[in-house]
Amino acid sequence: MGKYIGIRLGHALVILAIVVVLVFIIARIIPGDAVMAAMAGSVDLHDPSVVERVRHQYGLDQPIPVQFVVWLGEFLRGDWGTSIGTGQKVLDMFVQRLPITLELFIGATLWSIAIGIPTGILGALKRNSAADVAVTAGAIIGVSIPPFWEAIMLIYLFAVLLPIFPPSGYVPFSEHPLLNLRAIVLPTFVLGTHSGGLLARFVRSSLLEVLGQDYVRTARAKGFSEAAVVARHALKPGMIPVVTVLGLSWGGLLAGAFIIEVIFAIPGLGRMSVEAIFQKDYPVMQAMLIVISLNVLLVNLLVDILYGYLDPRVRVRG
Amino acid sequence: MAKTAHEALLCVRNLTVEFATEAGIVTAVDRVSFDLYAGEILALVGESGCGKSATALALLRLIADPPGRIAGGEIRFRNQELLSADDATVRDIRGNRIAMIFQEPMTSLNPVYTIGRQLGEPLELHKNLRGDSLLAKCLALLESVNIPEPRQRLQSYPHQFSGGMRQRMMIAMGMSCDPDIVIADEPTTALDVTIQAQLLELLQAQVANRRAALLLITHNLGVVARYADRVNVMYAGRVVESTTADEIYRAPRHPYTIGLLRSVPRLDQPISEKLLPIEGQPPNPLDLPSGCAFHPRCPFAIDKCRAEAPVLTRDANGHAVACWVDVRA
Amino acid sequence: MTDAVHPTAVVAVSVASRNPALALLRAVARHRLASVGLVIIAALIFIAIFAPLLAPYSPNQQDLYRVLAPPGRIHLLGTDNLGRDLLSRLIYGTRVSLFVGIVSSLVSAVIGVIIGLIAGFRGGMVDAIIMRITDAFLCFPPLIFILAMSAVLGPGLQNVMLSFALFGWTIFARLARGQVLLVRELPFIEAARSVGVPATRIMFRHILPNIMAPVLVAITITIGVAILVESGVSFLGLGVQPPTASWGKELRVGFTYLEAAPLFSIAPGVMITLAVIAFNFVGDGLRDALDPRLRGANRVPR
Repeated sequence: MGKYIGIRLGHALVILAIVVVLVFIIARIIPGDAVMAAMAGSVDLHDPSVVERVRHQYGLDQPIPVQFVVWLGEFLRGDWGTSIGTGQKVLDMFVQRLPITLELFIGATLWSIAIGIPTGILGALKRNSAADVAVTAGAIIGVSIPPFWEAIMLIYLFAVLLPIFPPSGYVPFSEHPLLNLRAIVLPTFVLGTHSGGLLARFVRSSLLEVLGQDYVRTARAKGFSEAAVVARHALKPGMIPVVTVLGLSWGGLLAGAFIIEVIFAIPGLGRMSVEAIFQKDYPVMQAMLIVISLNVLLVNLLVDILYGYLDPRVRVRG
Repeated sequence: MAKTAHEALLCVRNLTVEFATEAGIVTAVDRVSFDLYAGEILALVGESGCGKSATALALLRLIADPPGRIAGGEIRFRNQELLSADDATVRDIRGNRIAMIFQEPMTSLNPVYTIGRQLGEPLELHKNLRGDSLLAKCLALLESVNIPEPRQRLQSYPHQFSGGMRQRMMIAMGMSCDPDIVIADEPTTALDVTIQAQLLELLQAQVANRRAALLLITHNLGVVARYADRVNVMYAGRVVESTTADEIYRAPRHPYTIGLLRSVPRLDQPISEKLLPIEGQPPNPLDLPSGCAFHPRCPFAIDKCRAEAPVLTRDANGHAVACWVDVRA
Repeated sequence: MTDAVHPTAVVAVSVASRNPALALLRAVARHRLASVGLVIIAALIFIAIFAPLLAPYSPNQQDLYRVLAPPGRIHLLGTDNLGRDLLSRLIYGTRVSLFVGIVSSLVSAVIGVIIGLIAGFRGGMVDAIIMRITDAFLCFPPLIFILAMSAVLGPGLQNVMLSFALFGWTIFARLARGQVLLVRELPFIEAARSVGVPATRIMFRHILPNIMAPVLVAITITIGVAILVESGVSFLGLGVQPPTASWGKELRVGFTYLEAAPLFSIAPGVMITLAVIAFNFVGDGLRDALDPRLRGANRVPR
């Protein structure tokens, strides 16, 4: 098991290295002088001596690899630069907004598990029945509905027509727990339906495949009741790929957070990032890209480890 | 091994199993009848697709429904009719009074649980063993099938074993509750030839120790010759010949059996003797020939064979054959 | 295997050996949901092609007397804040979505499959490097990557498609590579190699046709993803530029005027959802149809 984790970790580090280079290219090299202009405030790009001075000031006249190392060093030390839009330190902005987005994610994951797993199991156990078709169709719709549209529809129904939930806005939990929960019901639900649909389909197909295996037949031949056969021999092997799905849908959650936070005016990392993109706030963008990829890498690593724990065959193959 | 009782342990009458396929209904098992006596080894022989595995699965009501279906017949085990029995009764018998050993040990064992856990399940379920007594019994079982270092093995996973060892473990699992009947569905087909003999010896010894009956499904005539007391030959879902193992080799009476024996090399025949394959192809289960299913390939066929399916008739010596022609003539 | 499988095996072989393309189409059509998807896609393509004939008005025609009009006889679905007919804009939006979706997916597929073929076939260091690079790209959710790229490259449909292809190739590269690994060990590939067939020929003539099935499924589903992403980007304002109509953009207008003109928020969303669902259904149907027939069904014995 240790070797298995070691290999995975090694891969992750290599990927991280590539990602960091990628981010540097995207957010520094390509925009080029635009970055400089942004960093220096409104600089007159037409005046060559000004350009010269600013470039020197920000170390942009150094060769690219040197710039990369400098930038990386700053980043690792916690100096993520200053936001062009707000003037705050980027790191501070992240820290401020992280708990809010985290709360959204937790809520969304809870919704998706609550929606996805029971329906998936139901669909598998009652294959080809009306319930199963409903589950499959529902799952596909859940995945296909644009999250922003679903959000708008829900806002219209439950905030405009029937004013049960607030159409937008956010109240921190520490300030007012009840209002906080009320505010996040709709956004987390929207996020949750998307990954819930994915989960339902995976659970269903995985369980179906397991139920057709010979070892399930062996379990029956031992004299177990159908319920015991499913519970003892089908669930564990069947749920293993589910772990991967939770990992897969994490990326979807991240992307969803961007749009949902904008629509519901929630002051989280997603909205901050979208604003940064509009304003070409490169320091924030760089940090966001790295944080996101780090996040995804970590989640994938965790999923791999969990998989290894659940399925002993994987540990050998490595 | 002599029959220890004249009353049959298992009576199968007119068992019929159907499968629904995209192209129609296939009758995999067609009114099959036979008896199984305590302490004997009965071999069910035939080519792939002749219905022998489906017969075995049907005995424990393990036919997958859909697409399969037990369409008719009667299975009496110790005077308990199984096809009409309720689920609880059947579950009580499975793994306990009638045990099954499957063909593919790799796929028949759950890859995510240890050997120990899977081995102990029938004991847990039927004998209510737990904890230390369960552990002790599992160790004893592994030892009885000659698996070395049983203590470590209990903690291992199926993929860490070789095919032969997995099958031994399946045998141990099957025997764990001292069943009256063991059904072995091609237990060695998936294994190397060198291991096959070992395993069959083991199986025979285990069965003999417990005075259980063994229903051995195989397509290997050599295995039949060595281990079986009686033989049922199946073709296209029907039993075409049924007699003792000695008799089958000495004086086969069904043209299919004769054809089979002629196509297999035998040590008691001169090398120069040619192997004669049976003419024609195995029948398409969706489109069986009329009358006797074997008639298109039969050198002895007469008009009646085309028109009417022969019935299995037993002669004075107990040798049963389903054929209109008496090949001895 | 037990006899239980054999009857089906006999049938499956005989059906599949006839014209495979026809058999495939028939299999897909038999799949209830997939045939619904096919119908929807056909309808969308029809709408896209014949947009000028179907749309009652030009999509950019402004009727300033009827701004934000509710649905009525003159404008079936109402008008937007500049008096432009919603129905016409949606019809023309079909062109945008289909075009972006299909082009993005195909370009990603072509680039990705070629790279994946090379990675899988060469193996070794080349394979390892390519795989780590794709892993790196895949650390970003597609939407986020494309949003970032649009900040860097500027807004507009072309950039959206470019960014999508820059990202999307990774999915196909991984898929193709995985498939190549499976096919590479087959005897007929060994045979070709031993006779001296050059590598590129093996890759494209022998391996590629055998991995097309999952690639086709992936292309179909990626079209759905591309449509979703484009509408998301347009919704946020970074995709299509005015005055072009796109479903996502109309939805943004709808959101702005949610209480005043709710239909504006419903109609474009329905279009997007229908399109994405259709491609997902078809992709699913393809996948089921291309699966080996003998996979375990839910077999519950009595």
